[in-house]
Amino acid sequence: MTPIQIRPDEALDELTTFQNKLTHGIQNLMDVEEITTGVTPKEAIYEEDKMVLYRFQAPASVVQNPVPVLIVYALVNRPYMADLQENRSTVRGLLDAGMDVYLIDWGYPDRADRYLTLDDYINGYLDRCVDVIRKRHRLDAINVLGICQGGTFSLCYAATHPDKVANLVTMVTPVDFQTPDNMLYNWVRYLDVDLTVDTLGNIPGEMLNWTFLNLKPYRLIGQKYLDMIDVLDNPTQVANFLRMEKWIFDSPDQAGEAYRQFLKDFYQENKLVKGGLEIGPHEVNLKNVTMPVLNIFATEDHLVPPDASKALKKLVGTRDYTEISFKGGHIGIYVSGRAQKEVPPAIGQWIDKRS
Amino acid sequence: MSDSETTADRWLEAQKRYWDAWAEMAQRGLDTATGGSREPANPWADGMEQWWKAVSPSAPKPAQDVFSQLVNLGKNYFAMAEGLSKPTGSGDVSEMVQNWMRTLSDAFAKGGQGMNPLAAMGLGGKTGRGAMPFWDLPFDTFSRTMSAGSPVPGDFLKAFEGDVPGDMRAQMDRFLSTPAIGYGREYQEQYQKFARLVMEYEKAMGQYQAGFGALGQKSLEIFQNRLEKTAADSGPVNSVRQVYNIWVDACEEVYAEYAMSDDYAKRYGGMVNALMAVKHQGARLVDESLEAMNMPTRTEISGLQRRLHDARKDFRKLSVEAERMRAELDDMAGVVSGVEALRQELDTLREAVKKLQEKPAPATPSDATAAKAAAPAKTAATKTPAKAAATKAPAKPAATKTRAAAKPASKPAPGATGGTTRKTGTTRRKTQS
Repeated sequence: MTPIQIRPDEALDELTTFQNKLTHGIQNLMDVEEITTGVTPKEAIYEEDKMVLYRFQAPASVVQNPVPVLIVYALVNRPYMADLQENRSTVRGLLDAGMDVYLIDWGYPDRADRYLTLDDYINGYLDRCVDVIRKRHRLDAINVLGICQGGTFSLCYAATHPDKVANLVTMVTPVDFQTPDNMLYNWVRYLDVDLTVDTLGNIPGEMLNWTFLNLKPYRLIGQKYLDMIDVLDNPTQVANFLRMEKWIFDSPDQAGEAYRQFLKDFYQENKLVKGGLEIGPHEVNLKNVTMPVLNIFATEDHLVPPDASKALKKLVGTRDYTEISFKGGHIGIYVSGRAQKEVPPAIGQWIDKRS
Repeated sequence: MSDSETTADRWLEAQKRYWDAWAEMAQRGLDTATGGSREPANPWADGMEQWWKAVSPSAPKPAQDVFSQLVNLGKNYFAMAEGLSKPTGSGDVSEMVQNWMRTLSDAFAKGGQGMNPLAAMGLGGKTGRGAMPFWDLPFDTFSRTMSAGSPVPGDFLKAFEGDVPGDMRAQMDRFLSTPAIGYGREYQEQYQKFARLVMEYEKAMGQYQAGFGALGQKSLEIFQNRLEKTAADSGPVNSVRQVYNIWVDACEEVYAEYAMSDDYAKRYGGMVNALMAVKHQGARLVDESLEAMNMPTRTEISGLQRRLHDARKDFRKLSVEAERMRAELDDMAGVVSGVEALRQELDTLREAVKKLQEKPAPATPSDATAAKAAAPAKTAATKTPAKAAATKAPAKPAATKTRAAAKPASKPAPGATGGTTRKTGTTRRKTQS
């Protein structure tokens, strides 16, 4: 039996439908207004250089946990992924779960920020944001929720400032950067990071885009757009698709020195696992992470493989360690319909139990 | 009518006109596919191309880029459908599939374009490099920067694109290794170095691309296996989209395996490092030109940025230190005022004791009570008044009070300390009042 049996007239029908959708879809594309992101009302609480600390407005009907949660997002891509649209918002879910939510927006570094180090980001900006919140709420310690690279930063912070972190939540966070299925690690093994940073200064966001797309090139550069043509006749779905596109390609440049240390210490030398990691004056030892930890990872994550996150269990010093395995990918964990129902409520309940 | 409405109308009108033409062309394609009389080479994919050529000039500017990408994908997709639908001489469907696969196989054999992820999606240029604008960017920017007043004009770099025959590369290498002499030897050396680095980068890029070429046949095998499995599990595949999806899955599988290999890591690292070396040397040459024109160089600006950053960091450190010292001073101010209060209290007590001493009176029970009340507040440090009180008051109670007050200092048991501290405080307040 031949595996393909396509009659020419059927193929023509298929292509005619395709062509039809393409030609009529342009009308919907033209009707799309400015793509909005970051839907939940928020207030800027503290600003420093290009960084802004926001506090989200909670619904009046919900009783809030008195200890706020600070979301620490990655330097790559923009944090509005956590608040993408009305019905796809981790932030909204956390607010509904009774959390008082703050978020750090790192901004878009330019050449003036080329010498920002991880010490500046973690012991500087992040620490000062935590202090601002502690002071506002008259608390010794607050809850921290780190996402992706922001989760790695949060771990470093919690290990070096454990007295300021009441509970730590990490989402799709790389800890062991050298698991056998980590494609990004393989790609940077022979990279001369010093030469790259010395040459480029800040690392262009386009370079990161190119890298991330090439993790699954056929799917992300080809198939995805054919799928888009299928939904071109639906204005809502077109808007959702374009919103996601905007986020994917909205990649800030990376401050050169921070990028240098992140690639060398975390990827090439895996110091978070092997030891010897220093962020400014502090040595980072995950055994000092003694507060309760909730570690959430995605089973289909192609950027941060599950094993890269699960390594945390054996490294932290806390006895109160919980894992949640989400069936989905690196992005789906924030924006899929199932994630909205499962992830923020689970975080809220876990924190409430420890308050 | 606004401009945007006019544009939209023109666009829709163009589409409407073209739609009839497309339907006709598609019918011609069907005739061809089913053995009709006329036979344009690739009627469906050509139809897509013609359609886009006709309507794109009137498409709104912001939509043109998006649509260009979609149309490029569509062309590939149409070409795939066409290949799958073309009849063979014998009319045998399995032969048709085999023919199509053979076509793909030939494409791989021609240098791996089939496995270049971007070229395969119709986004690549002749060598696939056009699909990677980032990697080409340094050439473009450098060419523009250096085209004026450079002994090596920007166009010179173009000569290195594509395949350079081995013997020519060797000759070029020898030429670039010629020792520099004379007044401009430093400059000459720098440009020779730059040209050598460009050649090394071209070589590294070639090796990187060649790595993909070896994968074509493998992806075809996987594709065939997946097709057969799908057919066995759920019947023959009968839609172009399904074939396309299986093709994507097969390519991703082979690509992922290769991208995780040591071979890929070395080729990728070699290519990026070689490019960075070119850019680094290019920046040096630009800096030298800028310096010659008495303009600020990139190195100088970077130096200033670093100093500014360090200065800000020092400033912040000092601010934190100043804040800490201010807090300490505030604490010390509290201590000073506390000491002052104690001193006043002490003076009051001394005054009271002095009065008691100056006024010898019979030791009545009321005097003993007053002395007892005063004794704890004086604490162990105020030994003299306590002693004086003890001489006048009954010995036992006074001695007990003193021990109780002194104990916490010598033995800091948590309960005793807290209790004593609270007790002393209460007594002091009573004394003051």
